[in-house]
Amino acid sequence: MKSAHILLVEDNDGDIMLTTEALQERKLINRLSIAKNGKEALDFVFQQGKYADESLPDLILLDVNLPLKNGHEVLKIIKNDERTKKIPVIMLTTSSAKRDIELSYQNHANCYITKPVEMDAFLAAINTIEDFWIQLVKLPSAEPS
Amino acid sequence: MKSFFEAYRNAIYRHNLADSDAVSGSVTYWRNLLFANTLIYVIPFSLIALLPSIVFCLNNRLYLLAGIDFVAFGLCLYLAFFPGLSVLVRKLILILSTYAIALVMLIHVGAEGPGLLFIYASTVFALLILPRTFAYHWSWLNIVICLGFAGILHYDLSPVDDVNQFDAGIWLLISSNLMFLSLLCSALIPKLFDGLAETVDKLESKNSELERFTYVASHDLQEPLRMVTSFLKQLEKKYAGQLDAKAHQYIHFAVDGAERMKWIIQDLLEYARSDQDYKSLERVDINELVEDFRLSRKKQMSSVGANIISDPLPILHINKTPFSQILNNLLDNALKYSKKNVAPNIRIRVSGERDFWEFCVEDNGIGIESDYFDKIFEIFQRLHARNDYSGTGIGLAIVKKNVELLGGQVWVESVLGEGSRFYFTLPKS
Repeated sequence: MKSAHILLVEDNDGDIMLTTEALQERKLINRLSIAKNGKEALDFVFQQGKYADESLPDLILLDVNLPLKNGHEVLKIIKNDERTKKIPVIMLTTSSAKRDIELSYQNHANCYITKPVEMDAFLAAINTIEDFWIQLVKLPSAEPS
Repeated sequence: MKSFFEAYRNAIYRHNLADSDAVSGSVTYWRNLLFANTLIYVIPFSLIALLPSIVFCLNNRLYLLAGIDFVAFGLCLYLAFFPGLSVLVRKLILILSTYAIALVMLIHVGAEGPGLLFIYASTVFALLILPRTFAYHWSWLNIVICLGFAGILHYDLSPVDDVNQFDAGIWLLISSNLMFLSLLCSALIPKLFDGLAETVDKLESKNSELERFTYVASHDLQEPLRMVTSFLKQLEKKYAGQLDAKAHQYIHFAVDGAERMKWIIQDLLEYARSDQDYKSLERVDINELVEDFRLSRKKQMSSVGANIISDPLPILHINKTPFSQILNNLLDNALKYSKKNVAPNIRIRVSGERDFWEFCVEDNGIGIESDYFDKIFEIFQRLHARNDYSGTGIGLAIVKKNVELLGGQVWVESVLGEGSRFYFTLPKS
């Protein structure tokens, strides 16, 4: 059973709770960090400010609609920086807008998932993310290269 | 008799309303419609003046005038029944023909003839059917004609002696009234259209604002709703052991309410959205749409033993999305409002003899009372309790909206307890 450090970037407290509980269903994650806006997410990833002692996450779950800096901007910055661009970023958002999907892949998101509205489907989606990205896929080392 | 008039009218519309620049409902469209209607009525009514006029001309050897009358009438027939030429050119042909008649009347019949009247009539029609950029041109033309005819009277230039007897000075006095009236009309009639144009613009922007509002509101409402439904379900799942039956019932009603709200919001979104897919026309085989429906509702249909038979349906050049919405909503209703223990038999018919397609979706379901024939097409109006038949009551409102947007009409015939026939038409164009 592998484990991983996931950074969840999400501004809605309710969604944070739902996603956290779903991720912890099967105990595959050994560490879950939360950032509630774009700036916090970047501070975390670049180990700035209050996150100076943090380690790089293995996987990032990124919402699109965030205050301060939206998901697209965060994605662009992460994927353009030598230290962080190797981290897989999964867009996890309510938006199904074609524009959002296109833009995300343009900025090198690893994949784009529209949050299912139904609770059961949402749970299944989180399980699938874990099965694929943590169990099946090999992730790069978390050490800065 | 009625169908002869309809055929006559449709021919004139077909040749004179095809201008694709005129968006339906805009001021240009109404001007063009006025022009087409002018042709419709001028042709028969002008005979009242034309026939006596031609008899008079032939008796008085005014062959030029008789000739001009024939030519003008012939041009009207051409405009009515032959295609080609832009709408602007057609309108100018009509106006300039009446001006030509007016001029010949002045020169060959004189100041006491109907010349002045024809000039005034031409001016008013020109101001009504031609764009406002030409508004003052007609007044200047009239002034030129009046002064010109004064010159003709003064220098005895008319080929008819009696005409030249009329005093030029008195003519100027009389015709100054025409000049005054035509300037007045040039100033005022465009203002009427300006007012109309402004109102149409305001209404259009109000409408699109409302649609955007509905879309945005529905979209934004989905998120908090998701929170309500998700956490209620989590509560149910994780605290199942600690909740008594009553608590479960409370949660059940809350979840059910949230579910219903979700359906209403989704339906509202669909209702608001249905206008946005009007851009692309494609070649659609209606038979395939029916087959798609059969496939997607296979489970539901086999569980009640339903079947759908259809006449051979046409292949149309239309917007696929709105047409599918119309067909699917009508078929879904036919399935839903069926009698208990009676297999739904649905029949789709089409007839296309006249210049529109008429579709009919017939079922053997529970039927509708005639009192409610109009109400059912209103948004969120239902005739049954939610427990008896599911749904938010938006299906037929979407059907009506789409049919009308495609240029057709929808109505129902039904007998309570026996079944219903939903008809809708689509113009063939």
